[in-house]
Amino acid sequence: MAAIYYFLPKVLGKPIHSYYLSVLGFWSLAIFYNWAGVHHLIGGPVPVWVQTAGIAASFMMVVPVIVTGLNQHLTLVGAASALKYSPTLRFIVFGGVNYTLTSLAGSLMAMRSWAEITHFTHYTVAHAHHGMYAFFTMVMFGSIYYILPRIILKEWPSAKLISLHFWATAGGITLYVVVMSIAGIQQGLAMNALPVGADGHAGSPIPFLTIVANTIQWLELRTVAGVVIAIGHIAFAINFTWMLVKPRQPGTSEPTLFRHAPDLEVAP
Amino acid sequence: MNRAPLIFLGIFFALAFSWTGIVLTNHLSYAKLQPVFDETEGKAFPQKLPGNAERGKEVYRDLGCVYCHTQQVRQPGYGTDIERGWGERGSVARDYIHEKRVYLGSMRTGPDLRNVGARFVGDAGRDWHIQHFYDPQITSKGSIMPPFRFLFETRSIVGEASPRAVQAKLPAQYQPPAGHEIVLTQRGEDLISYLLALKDPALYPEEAARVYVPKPESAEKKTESAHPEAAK
Amino acid sequence: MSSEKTKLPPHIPAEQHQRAEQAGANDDSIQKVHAILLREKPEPSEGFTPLPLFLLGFISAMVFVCAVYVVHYRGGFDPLVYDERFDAEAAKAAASAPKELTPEQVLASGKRLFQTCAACHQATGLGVAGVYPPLAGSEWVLGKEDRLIRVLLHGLGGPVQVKGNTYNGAMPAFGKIPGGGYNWSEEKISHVLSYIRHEWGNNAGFITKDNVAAVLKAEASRAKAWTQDELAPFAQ
Repeated sequence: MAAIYYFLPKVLGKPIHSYYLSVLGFWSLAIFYNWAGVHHLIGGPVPVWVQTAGIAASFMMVVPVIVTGLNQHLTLVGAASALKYSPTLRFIVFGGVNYTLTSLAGSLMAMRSWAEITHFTHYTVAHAHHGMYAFFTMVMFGSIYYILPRIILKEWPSAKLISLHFWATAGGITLYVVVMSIAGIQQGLAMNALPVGADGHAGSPIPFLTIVANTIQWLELRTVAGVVIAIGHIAFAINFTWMLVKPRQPGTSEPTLFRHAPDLEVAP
Repeated sequence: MNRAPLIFLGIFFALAFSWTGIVLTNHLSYAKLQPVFDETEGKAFPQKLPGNAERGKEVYRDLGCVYCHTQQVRQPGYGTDIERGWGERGSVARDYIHEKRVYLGSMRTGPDLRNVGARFVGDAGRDWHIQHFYDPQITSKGSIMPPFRFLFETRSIVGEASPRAVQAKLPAQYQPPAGHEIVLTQRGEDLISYLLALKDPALYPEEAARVYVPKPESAEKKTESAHPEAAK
Repeated sequence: MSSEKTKLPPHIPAEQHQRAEQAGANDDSIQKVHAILLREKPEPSEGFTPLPLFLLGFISAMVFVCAVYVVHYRGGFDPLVYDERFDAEAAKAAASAPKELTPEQVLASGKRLFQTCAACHQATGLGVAGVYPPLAGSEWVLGKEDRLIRVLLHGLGGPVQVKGNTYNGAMPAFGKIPGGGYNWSEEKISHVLSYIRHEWGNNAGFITKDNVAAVLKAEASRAKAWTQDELAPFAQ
């Protein structure tokens, strides 16, 4: 989050929209986020008041998320064309947007009726990857693209590889999250359904192995998504090794951008 | 950064607030839960695990069972854990008071195991676990659990065959070559002891605080909602 | 810089080398050093746009809704309460209500317990041909209660004829007997037996927990499973 708050204005050369919004976002996050972890125990072996407090805090997490999302969005407004040039910005904006999405989904998951379906299913896995990869990892990639040239005084050798890295990871993780969410919701609905069973009476749960069999097709798609992400990682690894190995260029160096930016409007 | 004391105080307050709420209050509220003495059984519940089951719990942790199996029964009316026979009541904090580490889990790639010891009992239960660990397909066709064949050892028979040999319980394609036998390793024995001991049979005062019992009318509602499914 | 030093023309006196070097530094290398800085944007700063008013309203609404939620579902802040619908009055009403289960509730409870039995006898009650005997239409289930209760309490071993076929398995003991694994209460046994006597077209009477308790008392000393022959007297 701090990385976004630094790189967004730094790359755009434009101040963060509102100091007050940042402060509000920070403190509300600090107060509520610690409590929100309890929503993993809804329906579980903790007294109900603990669960209720956790749900309420998870719900209050909407406040920092909306505030932060608004702040970053309003900072980007009017400078969105920079996304065409700067690798750092592209990764960071992708991460920022997904932070908003995954957090709102997280608050939704804390609702008792929604948790009844999604908890203990692949939906939780999708949510964890959404937060950990689509937000955190993508922001960190963006940061690496910014910091590394300044540390080792070499530029990224190939803009094409950066582009491949971005589209493969962004596309892969999007596919991953969508596929696993669908799998999880379907799995959760099947787990909770009590249809007419083999004995001809309602109220028999669907056999566990039938549910497992129905998830396998989605898990295969998950593998595809994982392969696409891995392609992106290989592109990054090649680019990174190449950068380390290649000789330092004499004279002024130009940052590596996706395409030529008019009069160096952005730093990469 | 001329407001460092203010920021420090603010962070201190935020951490103290959540620590009080989710650590201290919980500790005061139910850290002193005691076992409950059951008159008809003449024992206090929950019971401590026997020694070999306690070792088996370490194997359970070691093999990462917790990634795919939960150990918590959801409350009645919330999910279908009880209808699935995973427990007769929802799990409560008192069930876990003897456990230093709890393996609640957060993902049900496989079924809940909190009461697996009530589902697979005695020698028949042990045989089931042996088959299931050797190849889950023997007992559960279509399962995506990997075989845990390294919990077994195929060795040549020296002198007399071991009374603990298990190959007789396995189907024909897994029979060892002549003069060999399959036995469980110590880890395998421990793990199975743990799974056979894993159950929460007792009823606690917590049950008196439940108002929700699946009533006939709610069952009827479920029947109605299930019918369109069946019509398809 | 040493490389530039060697490139200096030899006719320049040694004491002037220093100055010549400075002159050289003015152009190329300063440019080079500053190129790194030139591409940088200024350090990030903050704008001071005030909070939009609707946001303030939104936050207040969130605080209010969450506070109401906590108060409504607090479960009395009681460490023994695990049901968010719990309130003291409803619990009192439930406690004073008659404990007797309706027949539907008995059958529902029996059906849940039957999950354990379905592993062998199958959810259809048809068993597995040649291995596990059927319960649907079985004379053992529909026949005399005393025999059926004994089978469940202590188990049944050896050959057994059901609906004209012979099975040879080992039914485990479910009752509270010495060495029994399941230790089901009399009530649970009565529920599951009532269930199998009313399912799959079976239609025999309910078995109460008193029936089960009476049999358990009469056979208090027995620990091992029955055989078909031993049970024959109880079928009349």
